[in-house]
Amino acid sequence: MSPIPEISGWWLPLAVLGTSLVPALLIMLLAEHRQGVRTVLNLGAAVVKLALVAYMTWGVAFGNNYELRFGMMPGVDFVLRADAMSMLFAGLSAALWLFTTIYAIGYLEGAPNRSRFFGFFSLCVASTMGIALAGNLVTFLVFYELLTLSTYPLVVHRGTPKSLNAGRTYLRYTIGGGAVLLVGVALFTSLVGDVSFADTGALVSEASYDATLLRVAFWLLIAGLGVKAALVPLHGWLPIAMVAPAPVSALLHAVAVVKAGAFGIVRVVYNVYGVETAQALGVLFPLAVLASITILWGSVRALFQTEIKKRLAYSTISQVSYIALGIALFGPWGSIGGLAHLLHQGLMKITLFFCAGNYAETLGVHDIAELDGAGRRMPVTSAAFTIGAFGMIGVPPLAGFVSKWYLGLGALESGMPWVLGVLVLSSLLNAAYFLPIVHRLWFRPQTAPWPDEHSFGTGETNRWLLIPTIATAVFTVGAGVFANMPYSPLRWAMLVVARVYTQ
Amino acid sequence: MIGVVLLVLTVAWPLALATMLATSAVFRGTLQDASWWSWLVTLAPIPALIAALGATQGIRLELPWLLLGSVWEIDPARRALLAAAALVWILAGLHMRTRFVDGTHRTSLQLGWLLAMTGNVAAMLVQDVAGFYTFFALMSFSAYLLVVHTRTDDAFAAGRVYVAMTVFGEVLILSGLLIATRGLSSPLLTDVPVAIATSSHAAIATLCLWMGFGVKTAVVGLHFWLPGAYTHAPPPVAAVLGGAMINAGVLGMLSTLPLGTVSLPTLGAFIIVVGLTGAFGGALVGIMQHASVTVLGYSSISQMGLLMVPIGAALHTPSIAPLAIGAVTLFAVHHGLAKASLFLGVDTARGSDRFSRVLVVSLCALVGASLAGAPFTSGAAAKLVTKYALYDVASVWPWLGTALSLAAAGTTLLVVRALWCLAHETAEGEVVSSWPVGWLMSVGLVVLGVWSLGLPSAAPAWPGAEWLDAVSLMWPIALALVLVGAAAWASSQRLLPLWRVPSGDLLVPLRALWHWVRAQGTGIGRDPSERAKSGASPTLSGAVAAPVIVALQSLRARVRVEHPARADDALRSVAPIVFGVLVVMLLLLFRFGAS
Repeated sequence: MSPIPEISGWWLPLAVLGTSLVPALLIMLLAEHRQGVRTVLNLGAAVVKLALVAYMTWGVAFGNNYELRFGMMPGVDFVLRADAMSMLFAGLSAALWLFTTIYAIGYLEGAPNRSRFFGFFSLCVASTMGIALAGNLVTFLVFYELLTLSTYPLVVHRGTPKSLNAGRTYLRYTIGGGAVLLVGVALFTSLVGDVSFADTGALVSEASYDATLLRVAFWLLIAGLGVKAALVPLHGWLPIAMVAPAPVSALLHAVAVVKAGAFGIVRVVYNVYGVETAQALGVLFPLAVLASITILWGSVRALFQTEIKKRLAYSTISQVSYIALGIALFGPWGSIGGLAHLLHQGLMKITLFFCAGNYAETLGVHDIAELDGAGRRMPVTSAAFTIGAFGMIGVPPLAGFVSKWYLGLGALESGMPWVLGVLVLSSLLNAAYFLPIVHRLWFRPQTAPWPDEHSFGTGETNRWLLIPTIATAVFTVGAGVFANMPYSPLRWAMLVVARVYTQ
Repeated sequence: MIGVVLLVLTVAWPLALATMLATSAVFRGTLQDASWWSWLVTLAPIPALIAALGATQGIRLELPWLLLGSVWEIDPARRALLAAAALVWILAGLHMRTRFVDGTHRTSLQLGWLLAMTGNVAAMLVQDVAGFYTFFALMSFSAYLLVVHTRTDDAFAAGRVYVAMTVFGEVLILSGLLIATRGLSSPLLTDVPVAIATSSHAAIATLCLWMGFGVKTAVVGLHFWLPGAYTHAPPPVAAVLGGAMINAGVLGMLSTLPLGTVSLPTLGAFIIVVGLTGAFGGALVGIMQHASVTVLGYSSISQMGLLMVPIGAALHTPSIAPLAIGAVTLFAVHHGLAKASLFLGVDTARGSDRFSRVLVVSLCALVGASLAGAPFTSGAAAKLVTKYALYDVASVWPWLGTALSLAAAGTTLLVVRALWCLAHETAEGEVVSSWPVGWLMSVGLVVLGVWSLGLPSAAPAWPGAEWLDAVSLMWPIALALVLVGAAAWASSQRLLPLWRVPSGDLLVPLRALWHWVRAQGTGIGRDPSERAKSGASPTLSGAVAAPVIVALQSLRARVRVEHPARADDALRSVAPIVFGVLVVMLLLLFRFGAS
């Protein structure tokens, strides 16, 4: 079990994992009252990790691959590898983790069981990093399961009957999904062998394998991943898991769980099967249909929600499927749109959840109907919410517009013009469920006293809550306005896509 | 160098002011109440005006890092539109500063003003598709802040329709642009007509773009937002909506529709028919309105309908495109300035005492004469250039020229009706003593004929120079005035009933239908638990019969027939007859044109 470095820099992926794993252990051992040490550990680790990921991203942009590989079982390797695709997800996780950590510190001020919370919080990010850097299906599966286990304590953190119930549903779905994924991985590995993810697909000569079995394995993998990615009809857990504390919801929806599923689908299509093979097998069209159904269903259900977080949850179901949709649209434009949306959706959705948390923590507001006049009381939070909402609708110059533009180009390029109709309908639905909230924030007068108002001195709310909200809102604008700058989400997605198509 | 700075300032300066204002609002500052600040807001379009008036000839600014790669340039074709838009914003701003008395929600008004203006002027100098779409959206969505300024229920209802239709227009534009530019990652606007011409989906892309921008220009069927927004927004806001922002929609059409690059005869003919429907329908419904602002709103629908004719004709016959584009530009500039001036006049009249009101209405009549196309006005120039542009399609539609003249009669009726309403409206609020500088300047501009700004070189030297032209310009106006006289007489004899169509016309039955659908238990927009309780489920026959029943009921309820009590409603009373005459004449023209 000794590491066998193949390329210089093998320690980098390990260090990135370590910056979450080590603090996770230390924090769990820490006494509850050691708040200062815990904060330093949390933030220090997040900053160090961000720096490491930035360094790796820079290297990968110049064509370096950082890989760590050793034998786990006979015939199966444990592989951590940084390629362009993994940096897409690792970059998102590292950046948003920093903001979520800051937010969580403010959110949980004075709450019980913070050591447990932050311990599992770090473990959760470690799993996410593992998923990003996993170099083959088996390694991916290991971290995917670890993610399930590390998020459960976060979902049930409050310990109320409601949250325990939600936790049970969450486990039932995700462990079920994990089992299906395991079968899929086993089937694929027994067919093809243990292959590493490769830019244009690990499956080199698909003609020598049984196409039907390959399709079965594909759908098993998608079904297993689809639970976390909340593809309809496997989405039932997501709205229920809303009882978790706001930073957990933010993490679940923008970075960790839902994104892990979506990223898994990306890996399976591009780096396991290869997008051209997947197209040849005819699995992309059904995936596009499934994603379209999810997009519309999520939006329609969101329309009927009266709770802020519930509406955001259904919106996540809809928006995350844009990623799957982009991947299923054969051709570079669709791929660029889907991959860019992996980052864009994260930025926009985390902003919206931060805002929902700010309203809940500052004003005690949970229902949309109670938001009347909140813009006057909390202008910065409401401005951030407005940016996030308009971004989700796809209004330029925000991040969501860039995604939609390329998805639309992809729809036409791949010969599925009906997808354009899905995008249009989804935009209209997004407007129908987001704009009324924006209207309430800014244009309705406050009619009743806030349910549970807290004062935080001069600012509208706790600084720890406000700063991450501003930061992600600024990034949402920046990702759109400066879409064509080097290292923007769009440009990085283009870099990845240039590597996954052979011609 | 100065040119580059001007281009940047045109966009960056109002944006910077908006940022300052927002920052001040967050920190509960009082920037919005400062006098010097309101000067800054009023004069924010100055860089745009200077840039448009020629200091930026041939300067092209490439910003590859912005959006999907942006290019800024003021080309000659857009110079007139940009200058007119900047002028309208400045004059309306001046008016707002000096005359407009409503001081509530000042921050929100100023923020909407700055952002919508930024979007408006920037859309007129940005050359790339993504940039244009961005600033167009910024303008459209920010204008909501202006539309709902009064915060009344009516204003919010109008705002809701405005936003819903804006979102609809935005997605149509996006779809059209995507279909048109498929395969181009960061296309320029000039690529769009070319790409459409070679596309196998030319008609669908063109239709999407036309309808998308048609929301902004209030094409019939997509116009529902306009009467409400113009009526319930403050008049200075209506001035910028109907004088400046509407032209961004016109520019969108001129820039993206494949004018001159491909022939789409069916779509072109369809656009002409829809345009004429708007021209006559807008006039018909408009003269049955009560409020001067609403009449002016319907006049915009009518005028924009006329403007669609050269656009449709150019799609039908590509060879006339250069002339048609020139005519549309001139028409848009003229209409924008005249309409803005009339709206500012409405606000001026509202704050005037009985004596000065006579003066205000008289000056408005001068502007109205220009709108109606009286000789020696910018309106006459616009009409003549339009007819000139359509000369080559006369063999296809020989009646088109006469139809346009008849529409001018409709315009005259609308102007008379608007002035009548204005003269008889009871004064709102207090009498304002300060000089209506902005409005007076706008009247001066219209009367002096700033139309030369946009006059294409192909236009006839001076309209009215030929006697025949004067005749063709005058007979519609004379016809309209005769009709007005007849109406006044008939009304004084109590011969005719009064007709009235509610503001928003087709929106009213549509809204009733919507409420009926909701009441039938389909549960749209309602809480699911509530739906389960009511247990109602829609039946097929009910669903089929519903639209008919509701439309009939609502029409019966809404189109009221009152008996003539006052002579001031004379025009309203004969509206159906007036238009009966016009329609019969049009039909006769069709008949003779065909033979």
